[in-house]
Amino acid sequence: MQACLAGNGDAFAEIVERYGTRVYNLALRITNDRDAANDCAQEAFIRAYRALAQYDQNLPLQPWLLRIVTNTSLNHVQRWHAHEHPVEEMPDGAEPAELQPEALAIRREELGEVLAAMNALPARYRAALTLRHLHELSYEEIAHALELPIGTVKTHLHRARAALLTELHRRRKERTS
Amino acid sequence: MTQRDFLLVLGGGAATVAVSVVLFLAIVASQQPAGASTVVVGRRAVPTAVPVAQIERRLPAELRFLAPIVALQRGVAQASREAAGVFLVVLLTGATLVFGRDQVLRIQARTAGDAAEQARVFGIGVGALVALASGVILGFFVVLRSLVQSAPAGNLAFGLQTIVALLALVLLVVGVAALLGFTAASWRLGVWVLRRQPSPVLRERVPATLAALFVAAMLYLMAQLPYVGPAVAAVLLAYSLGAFVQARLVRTEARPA
Amino acid sequence: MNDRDTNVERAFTELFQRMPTEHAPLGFRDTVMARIAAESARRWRWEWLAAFAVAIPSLIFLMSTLIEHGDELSDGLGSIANALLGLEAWDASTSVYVDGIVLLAVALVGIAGLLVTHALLAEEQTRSRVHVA
Repeated sequence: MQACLAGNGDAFAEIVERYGTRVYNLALRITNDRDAANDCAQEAFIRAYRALAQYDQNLPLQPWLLRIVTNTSLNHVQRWHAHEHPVEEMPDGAEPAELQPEALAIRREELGEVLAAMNALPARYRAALTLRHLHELSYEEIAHALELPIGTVKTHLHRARAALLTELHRRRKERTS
Repeated sequence: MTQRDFLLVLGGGAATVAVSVVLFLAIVASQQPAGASTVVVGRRAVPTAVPVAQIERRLPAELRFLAPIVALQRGVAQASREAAGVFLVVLLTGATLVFGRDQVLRIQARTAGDAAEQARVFGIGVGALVALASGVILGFFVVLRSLVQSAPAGNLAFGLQTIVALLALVLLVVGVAALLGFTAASWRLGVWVLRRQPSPVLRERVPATLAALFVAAMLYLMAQLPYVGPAVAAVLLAYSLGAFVQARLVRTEARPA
Repeated sequence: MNDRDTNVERAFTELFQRMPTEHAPLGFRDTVMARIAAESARRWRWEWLAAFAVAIPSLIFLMSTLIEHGDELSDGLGSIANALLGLEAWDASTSVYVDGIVLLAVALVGIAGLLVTHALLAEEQTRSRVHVA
C-alpha cells in the first residue's frame, strides 16, 4: 500500500489482481448483472485509486475496497433498477419461524437456486448478506460499508435471511407442485 | 474533445486572462514617468503609491473598460506582499510533496494512530528539540572556549565564522527534517478534513495533496496570530520533528494490505 | 446473540462459502489500469494547462519588469552587497520593498514549475505502471 501511494508502478495493479475477483463477485451479487458488475468493479478500483491518499493504512484493505464497490453497485442498482422494491417495502411478517439452520441444508445442485432466490431480495439485503456471509465482515464493517447504524444492519440481516429462506421455500414448493 | 475537456480549456483560458489583466495593470501602474518603484532595498525611502485615478488615466483609450479593475489590482498587490510567507510555505510544502513524496508517505504511515499516538509523536519532538538545543548550546560553549584558549588572536574571527557556519548547517538539517514532518502532518490533517466533508464530490475529487497545501497555508497563518502564534509554531515544530524522528528511528511497518 | 442465532449465522456463512464464485472478466486488471492511466492523463493535462495559464503571463510580466526596472533591482542587490562588505551601514531607516505583484508573479512561476515537474514525474510513473500491467 505504501508503495502504491508512492506511485510504485505495479503496486496498484497487484491490488487489482489480488482483490479483483472478490470485488467483482460482490458487485455481481448486488447488481445481478455481469456487465454491470464488471463496470461497478472497475469503477470501484478507480475510485479507490483516487482515494488512496485518504485510506487509513492501519486498517485492513479488503473492507475498504468492499465498501467502495458496495456503494458503487448500490448506486448502479438505484439508478438503473429503480423498479426494485426498496428495503422498507419488504414485509416484516413470517420471518422468525423460518429462521432455522436446518432449512439451509441445501444440496450442491440446489446452490444455483439460492442465487436465484437472492436476486428476488432488495439490493441492500443482497449486499448485507454477501458482506456478512461471503466476505465475513463484522457488523461494524458492514455498517460502515452500507452507511447504516449497526442496529439497522442487524435488522437488515435478520430480515434478509428470513426473506431468503421464505423465497427458497416458495421456490421449492413451486417446483414440487 | 469532451465537454469536460472543453470546460477545462475554458477555465484555463479564463485564469490566463484574469492573471494577465492584473499583471498588465501592474505594468501600467509602474510605467514612467513618475512610475512606482518595483524594488527598493537599502537606504532609500519606500515609494509612495501611485493614486488609482492616475493609473486609470494612464490606460490607453481602448482599454479604459479595465479601469474598475485597477482598485482590485492594487488590492491584489498589497495582499500579495502580505502573503509572501504563505506563498513560500505553499511552495516549500508543494516541493516537498513532489520531490520527497516517499519520505512524506513513510512519515505519514509511521505516525498514523489515534490522539494518544499523536501526543506521543509530539512528545518525541519536544524531547528531540530540547536535546538538540542543549547539544547546540554546550557544543557552542566547548568549541568557543577551546578556540579562545588555543587559536592565535588573528584566527579567532575565522573560528567564530566557522562556528556560525556549522550552526547554519545544523539549522539546515533540522529545517529539512521539520519540513518533511510538517508536510506529512499537513497531509494527515488535509485527509482528515477531506474525510469529514459531507459532499462526496469534495471527498473523492479533491486531491489529498491540494488539501495538504491548504492545511499548510492555514497552519502558517495560525502561526502568525498574535499571542497564540508562537505557541502554534512551537507545537508545529515539535510535532514535525517528532514525526521525522519516529519515522526514521522506529522501524514499525504499516499493517500489510 | 443466542445459540440459535449463532447457528443460523454459521449455517448461512457455510452456505455462502459453498456458493460458486466467478472469476473477474478476462483482462479486468488491464482494463482498470488503462482507465486509471487515461484518468491520470486527464489530470496531467489539467496540471499542464494550469501551469501555462499562470506561468506565461507571469513570465512576460517579470521580463517586462526586469527590462523597465532592472536598474532598481541591480541597485537593491548592490545595496545588499555593500552591506555585506561593510561599505554601507544598514539601520532602522533601511527599506526593503518589493512590489506585491512581482511577488505574486514569482510565486505563480514557482507553482507552475512544481505543477509541470509533478505532471512529468507522474507521467513517467503511470507509463511504467501501464507497461507493467
